[in-house]
Amino acid sequence: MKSKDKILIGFLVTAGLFSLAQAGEYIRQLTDVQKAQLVQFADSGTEATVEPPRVVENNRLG
Amino acid sequence: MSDAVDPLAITVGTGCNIRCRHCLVEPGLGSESISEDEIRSLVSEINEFSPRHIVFTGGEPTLYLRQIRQILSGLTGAIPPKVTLITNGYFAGRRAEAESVLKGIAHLYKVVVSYDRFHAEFVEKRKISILLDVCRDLGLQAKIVCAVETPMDLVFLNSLRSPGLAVSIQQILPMGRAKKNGMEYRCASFDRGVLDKKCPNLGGMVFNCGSGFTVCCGPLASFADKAEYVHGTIAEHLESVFYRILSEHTFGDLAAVSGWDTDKLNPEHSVPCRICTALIPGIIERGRAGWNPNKKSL
Repeated sequence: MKSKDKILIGFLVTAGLFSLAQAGEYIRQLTDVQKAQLVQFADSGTEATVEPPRVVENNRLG
Repeated sequence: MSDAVDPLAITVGTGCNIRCRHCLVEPGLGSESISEDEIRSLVSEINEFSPRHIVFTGGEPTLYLRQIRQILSGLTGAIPPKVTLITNGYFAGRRAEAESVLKGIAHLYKVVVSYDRFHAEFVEKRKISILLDVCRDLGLQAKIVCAVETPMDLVFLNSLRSPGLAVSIQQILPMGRAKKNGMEYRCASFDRGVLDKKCPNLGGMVFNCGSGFTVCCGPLASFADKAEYVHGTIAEHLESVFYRILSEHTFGDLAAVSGWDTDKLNPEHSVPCRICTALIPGIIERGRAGWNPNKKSL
């Protein structure tokens, strides 16, 4: 597996967007350009997590 | 103080100055703005349950600043709640305007800015940048909430170039305008991990104007027949069959008691709000017919 793919799968799973299996399926659908754009976001230092629709207040983690 | 009500998200009004095609707000969710009677009873509930965090949302909550100030001025707790504002940032055309709005909200500590490719059709990036700058200068935490149909929608935020910025990702649900426009978060396959989960909003509570209190921040709270899901007081809601089902059981428990074959679930059921919306109405119906979900028969 390419290192770019590993970065993306790690990001998608850690952010709560997909399970490991789903992340693998998802990135197989992306073009190299799309992967590069998503890696740019994943590598930007942005802390990104999925949260419930209305309550955007991730205070339960401390 | 109750940990079951933290944070308390308050929909002060469903009105908005923009019309995003992915918006989850149902036009029929409740009245357009919170009434004087609702403010009085809401303040009383806040004073009783003392949530540590209050989140003002909408619609666009800054269209209802008078009502927000009225709510906050009625609080009597010794320790005031920390206040979060979720906004589309339309008012930040100039620094002075942004400062004026934010300084006018007591106990404000965090601003969550809704910004994604859908909001960007209506609100200029320049305003978002001004708002983030003003938040930093006022010592307020700032966060972007980005709605996505697929993870590729996050790429839109690359243009903000704000390293270290925290982002809340909101998976679009088929409700409100999003449903009308056939939009929702897409999964390629079903993730069995959701079966081990409970409602992700447990611990939080939502007050929707014209409607009432509910733990549900998703589609169930906007069902036409919502008497089972939304209540007039927090205590009523915490005692409801709906709340007890959600707080005591995983989605896997609920799928089992509903007789679902979990090997044949659809990809969209990977999203907690989607599987919940598919399961709960049937279980509530069985509850009406005499089945007690709390007898641990799951």
